[in-house]
This record gives sequence, C-alpha cells and structure tokens, in this order.
Amino acid sequence: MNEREWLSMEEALRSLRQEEADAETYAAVRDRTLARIHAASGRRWAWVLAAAAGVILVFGAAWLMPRATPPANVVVAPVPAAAPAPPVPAAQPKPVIARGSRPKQARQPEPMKIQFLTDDPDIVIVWLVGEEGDLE
Amino acid sequence: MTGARRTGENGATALEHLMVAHQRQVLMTALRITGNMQDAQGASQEVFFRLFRHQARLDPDREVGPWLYRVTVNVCLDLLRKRPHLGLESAPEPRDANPGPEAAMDLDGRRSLLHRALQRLPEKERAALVLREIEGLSTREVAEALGSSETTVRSQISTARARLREICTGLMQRRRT
Repeated sequence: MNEREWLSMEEALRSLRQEEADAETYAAVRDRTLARIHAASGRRWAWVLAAAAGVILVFGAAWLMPRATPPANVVVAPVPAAAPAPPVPAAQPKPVIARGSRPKQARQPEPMKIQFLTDDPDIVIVWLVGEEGDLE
Repeated sequence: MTGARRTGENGATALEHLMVAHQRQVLMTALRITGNMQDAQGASQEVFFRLFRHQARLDPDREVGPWLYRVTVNVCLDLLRKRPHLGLESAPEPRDANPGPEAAMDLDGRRSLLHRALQRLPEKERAALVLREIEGLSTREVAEALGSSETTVRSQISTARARLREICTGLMQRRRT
C-alpha cells in the first residue's frame, strides 16, 4: 500500500466517527437497560421482604417457645441445738509431687464432710462443704 | 457530570436522559471494539446499568463522558476475553462485490475493509486506536480510559497504525487475487 492509498485509508478511518446506528437499535438498548434496572430493583425488594419475614419468624419462634421453670427453693431444716458438734476431721495432706516430674492433671478435691448426730440415732445430718465453702 | 444526579428526579428517569445523550458514544465505541452489533448492544446495556448503580457516587461536577469511555472499554474487553473468537469471525464482510484497484475503492468499501482490519488488531491496541483516531480523544483521555500511561498509549497507537496498514495491505491483495 503506497502513501496515497494509506492516506485515503486514514481518512476513511476518521470518517468512521460519522457512522450511526438506527434509532430502533438505540431504543432497544435503552428499553432493555431500563427493564434490567426494574428487574434488579424488584429482586432487591424481594430480598428485603424475605429478610424481614425471616427476622419476624425467628423472633416469633423465640417468643412462643416454652420457657424453663425456675428450680423450687430448698428449705433447710434447722439443726437441733442439742446436737453435739462432731470433731472436724483433719485436712488431707497434699500429695507431694517429685521435682522434675511432669505436672499431673489437677484432681478435683473431695468435699469436706461434716456429720451432725441428733438425739435420734437413726437421723444423721451430713453437711458437705465444697472448695468454695458452699453447701452442697 | 451533566444530569447524572438530578434532585427530585427518579433515578431511572435521570438515567434515561443520560442514555439518550451518550448512547451513540457508548454503542458505536462498543461496536468498533467488539466488531458486531449484538455484542455492542449487550455491552452498552451493561455500561448503562453500571452507570445507574454508580450514579450516586459519581462527581456531579464532572462530565460523565470519560467515565463512560472507560467503562465501555472495560466491558468490551471483558466480553472479548470471555469470547475471543467473536471479534474475528463476526467481522463484517466488505460490501464491494467487484473488487477493483484500491484507488477506485469508494469510501464505503474502505470503511468496510477497515472494520475487518480493526478486528485483527490486538484488543488493547484496537481500543486505543478507536478512541484516538475514531472517537477523537486526546492521548491523555485515551490513557485515562484505558488505565495506562500516555507513553504506553502513544506506543500502542503507533504499533496499531503500523499493523493496521499491514493488515489492510494484505486484505486488499486478497481482494485483487
């Protein structure tokens, strides 16, 4: 291709800017774009409604579920004053762990047991004191 | 951006105004990059859909044209990457049924030949050439649209022109034989 031919080609290249599509083509693009926007907007509302319905369902289910009844209060009978206090058993000595040995898993300490003897030999009150000093 | 955010107007109505104002720019650029009208229409829809979604985020004081060029190029290149065979196979055939010497080829014949030749260029070079030579953007505007430097764009355009000349020469020789 010589220079003159190439110049005419360059001129034709620039003239491509004047090409136009027909009005129907533009209208079709606009219509399809707007239809897509409306469809996307509808889908977004559907998601919002579905999410709202889900939240309502969860809260409704939580509201309607039967609630656990609180435990009944425990009434502790008073200890007769005449009962002599039994001797407190001596605390158990702690086990000695050899140096260098791997630490063993801590054992659950046994609760301290205090027995109250009453006048009736058939009735013995047993008081279990836990690690925190609470009544068990 | 002219009219991208009009207070009191529905978003879709504002978009319709923008589509009418920029439809030629988007559709014809997409047509030259993708090489066929069906893809160009699909790409244009995607571009305007993205415009709708980004309307609120665009600067109302800036022209929307450069943003549209950038998105159009991106959408078209994505489309071609997914379906790379479409550009070449669907390139329009020259209308001139009785090929003669190239000097005698009329403007329509030369345009037709150029459409085919453009589709044989690498995608980025084609996009740069279309924006610079056909759409008439400055090198800086082309660089912005392509997300490249001005130096890269100058190089791409120079290479694209040389390749286009080679391709046109080849196509014209084929027409003669």
